Amino acid sequence: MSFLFGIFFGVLSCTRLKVLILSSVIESVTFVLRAVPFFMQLLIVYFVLPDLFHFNFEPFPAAVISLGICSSGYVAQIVRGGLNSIPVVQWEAAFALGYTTLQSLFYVILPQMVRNVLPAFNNELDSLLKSTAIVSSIGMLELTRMGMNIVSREMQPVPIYLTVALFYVCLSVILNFATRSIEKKISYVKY
Amino acid sequence: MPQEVLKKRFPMLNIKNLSLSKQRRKESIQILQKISFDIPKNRISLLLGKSGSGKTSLLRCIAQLEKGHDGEILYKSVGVHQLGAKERCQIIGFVPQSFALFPHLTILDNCAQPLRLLLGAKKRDAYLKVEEVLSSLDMLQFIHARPHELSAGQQQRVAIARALVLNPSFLLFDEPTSALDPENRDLFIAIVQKLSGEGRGVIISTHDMVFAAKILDRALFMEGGLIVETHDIQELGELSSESKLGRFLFSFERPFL
Repeated sequence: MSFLFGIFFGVLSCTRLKVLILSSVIESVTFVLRAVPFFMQLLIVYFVLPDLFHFNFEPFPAAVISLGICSSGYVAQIVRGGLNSIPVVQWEAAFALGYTTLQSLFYVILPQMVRNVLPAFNNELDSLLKSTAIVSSIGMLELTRMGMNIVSREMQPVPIYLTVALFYVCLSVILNFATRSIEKKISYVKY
Repeated sequence: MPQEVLKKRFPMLNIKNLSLSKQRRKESIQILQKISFDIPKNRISLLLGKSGSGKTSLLRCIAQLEKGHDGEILYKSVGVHQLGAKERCQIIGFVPQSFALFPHLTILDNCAQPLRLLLGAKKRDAYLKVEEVLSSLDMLQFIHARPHELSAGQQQRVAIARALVLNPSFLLFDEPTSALDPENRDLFIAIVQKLSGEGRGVIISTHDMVFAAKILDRALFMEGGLIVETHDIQELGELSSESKLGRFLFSFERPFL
């Protein structure tokens, strides 16, 4: 979800594709998303929004939504940088061949952009994974919280916390493998 | 034959009062100043001139890549800017200086994708057409390669093929020889002469005088955003050293004579 929003926001804030008012609105929204700490955003989504609009939030959807919109701010910035790094000639060549703006974006620019920004995406996924630790504060049972619970039951912090850390490493390894293999798959220049 | 009939039989690209200005550091710079001229089909028109004389800008205007130019570019009395992408691309093809092939696609897909997106051709038909064009340029063996695996000359031929699959009446080249060695340059000249022999109009902007001297057909000399001289020449010897183009050409050491 963060990536869907992020790519959408990023595309709309890229220099070449300014959509008049919308772009500046999105730029300020993503700026705020990046400026406010994730913990704050979580609290706002979980406590403030239900209070303002009178509805109830389960911890899980609240966590997913706030994680999603928070990281979408960062992804938007990555995408914007990626799009701006594609040479203008590519846009022009696509135009000279009769592509519409959307067609140039999907068939010419985005495929090249994704390859360039995959490492940054990987980064973002990693930090997203670790941000889930904060979600425990609204009462969700995730990895860190589980560890804390076990520690308070067994009173043996050293092995348990180390195990939890190892779990995070394992998850990261899986993620890294996944993005590396995607990177290999879509790379078209052999180094 | 009266002028009108001639025009109908051999339609030209008519450029009328084309001007372009750009803002640079709050200053408005006039790049093209009310240029009017015609580009005939089946001829090779060379745009010559020093750097900064507006050759590339003129080409980009014709290819509709510059926003905010004034004046008209007419083909068969219709403004090119009014046409949809499909019609425009069947009139004007553009090969940029850096060729700008799409690096993530194979040569085949580079050429076939415009066909499929613009004309809605089926995959098979598009591939067949591309193979036909590529084989006419002697590039069939590279069909599954990626652009970065090719040399500059080969990349250029792919870029030409990509423009040609849409079958444009006019082909524009921006500094086509800047990345080529002499052998590839001669190959390029042969290709261009074949294209104009097929009845296409070719417009080339260049400051490569060796190349210009070899291809001479119709030369337009630009200076300060204006076309100051137009020559129809087959041989350099015909050129008087009094003309600006003559002086420009002869100011070199004549390595080509």
